Amino acid sequence: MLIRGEDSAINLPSTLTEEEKWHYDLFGYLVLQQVVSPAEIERMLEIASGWFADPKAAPEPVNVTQDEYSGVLNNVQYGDRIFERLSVNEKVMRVVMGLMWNRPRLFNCALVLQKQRPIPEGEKERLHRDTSGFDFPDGFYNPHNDYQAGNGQIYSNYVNTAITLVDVPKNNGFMCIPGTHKSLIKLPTTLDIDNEWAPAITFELKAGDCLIFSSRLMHGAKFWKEDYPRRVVFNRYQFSFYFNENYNLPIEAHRDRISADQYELESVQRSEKGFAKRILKKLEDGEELC
Amino acid sequence: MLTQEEKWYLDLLGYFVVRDAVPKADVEVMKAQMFEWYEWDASDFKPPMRINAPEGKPWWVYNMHYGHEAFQRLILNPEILRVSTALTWNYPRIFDVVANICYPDADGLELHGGHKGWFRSPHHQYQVANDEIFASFFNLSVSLVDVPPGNGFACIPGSHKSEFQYPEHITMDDPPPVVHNIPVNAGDFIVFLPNTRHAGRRWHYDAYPRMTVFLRWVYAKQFHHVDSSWCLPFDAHKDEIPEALHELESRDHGQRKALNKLINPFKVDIPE
Repeated sequence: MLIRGEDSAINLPSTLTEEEKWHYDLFGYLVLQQVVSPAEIERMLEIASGWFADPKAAPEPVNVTQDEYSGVLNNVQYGDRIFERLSVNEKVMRVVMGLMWNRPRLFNCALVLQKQRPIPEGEKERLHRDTSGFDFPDGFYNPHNDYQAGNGQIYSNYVNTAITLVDVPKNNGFMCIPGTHKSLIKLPTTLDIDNEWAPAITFELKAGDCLIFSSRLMHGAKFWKEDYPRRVVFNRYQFSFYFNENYNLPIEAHRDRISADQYELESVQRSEKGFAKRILKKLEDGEELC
Repeated sequence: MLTQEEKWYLDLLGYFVVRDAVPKADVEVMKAQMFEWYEWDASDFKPPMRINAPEGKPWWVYNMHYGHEAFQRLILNPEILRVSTALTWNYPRIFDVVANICYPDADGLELHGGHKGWFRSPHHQYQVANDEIFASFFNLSVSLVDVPPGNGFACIPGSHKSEFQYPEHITMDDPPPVVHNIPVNAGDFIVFLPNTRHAGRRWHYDAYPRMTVFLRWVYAKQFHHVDSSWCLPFDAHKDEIPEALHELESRDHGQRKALNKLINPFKVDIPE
């Protein structure tokens, strides 16, 4: 008889509701409303604006890149604990944990800025899947970008979260073609974003809302049409045990700038992590997540 | 064969639309005939035609192709044969021919069907391999009128591949992206899989009623409810329809000569 370890994932109770499972399985994304307080958002915008205005003011290892119409703050969670609280946000983590058997690992965190810009004639928005830098041939899919469902559970081993720091009107910001995380047919070469065969959607979001999506979902960004810049924090999580395809986290030299929870979240580890156990206990006790 | 776009869309959403498939002249003939039949009593219909006219529901008529040849031309329409041949890997069989008329006083048809994980009925196969789709059972609805947005066919896109139970609170009138409503014009048809959770919204248009022909298809080599007296083929009436159509109604056991002439151009290459 085969013996399974006590941490066998098979019997894990899911932290997702049945409706969340149904929705994510069907469409490849979920929307969580108001996971961050307005006061924290205001402070994050203030800090980010300061670093974009004066990149030297950003503490290491925060990496500032920008041009006239866009900017990125990489490793932003090392810059201020307020950003770290987005990565380990319990309301978000409940869902991420439910999608990868309670074993998430953060492997990328960045604040992205996007401004309105002149669009050259003929330029169109584009969609992509997150490929980790290597496109698998048609008919295959990257095992680091897996999606499975069975026995009432989901295993989605590469999940992206996007917490918006500003209001996003419809027809702006994140767009995707729902269901493409499970597409089995080759993408037609004729498909274009304004084509009737590409049923892409956008989302009307309030600052503090969070989109959680499978990286296999075909997604992209609409041209930004508002007077204020789009600012969104992306956190990418992968199943904590199998692999480490992105080696830059955790950044050992700056370990002192993040909490023990954050360090554990960024580390490859087989067993359930401390913050995950704490969240599971809270759920079991019916306590509110923060 | 299906286009790459059709395959991609069907796999993604569980349905796709073929536009302008039926000649306008035939659409008008079928519409006129439907209105005429609508006035008949049930006893006026000769078998195998029959009707079902429940109060407060759509009015249904069955086996119209035994009553007017325009419906025979519809089933043998090249675009319809192209799709049905490709999805059944060269063995299409029509097993249900029915149409309805919906006035605003008729109830809509609530969401039904929809996959929810676990095993799939062997009569509802949906498979994808090597960029090809095989569906052993699908529905094809041909609209005889222009259907304004908000009316007619609605479905939960992608639910043919769903692995979880749908929430009961979702209704056919919910907005996108959870529920899609698909406006079509007269002569268009919608192909949809039975595992796509689907519905018919109440008709809210006073100028004319909704009028739709539903053609249901199965893989001709598989067994089906052949003992049902309501199911095709009707051998006693085989002389009332073209030979190719009778073959299309029948299970395939190598006899399909007339039909093959029609569907040969649409056959897909399948491995031996």
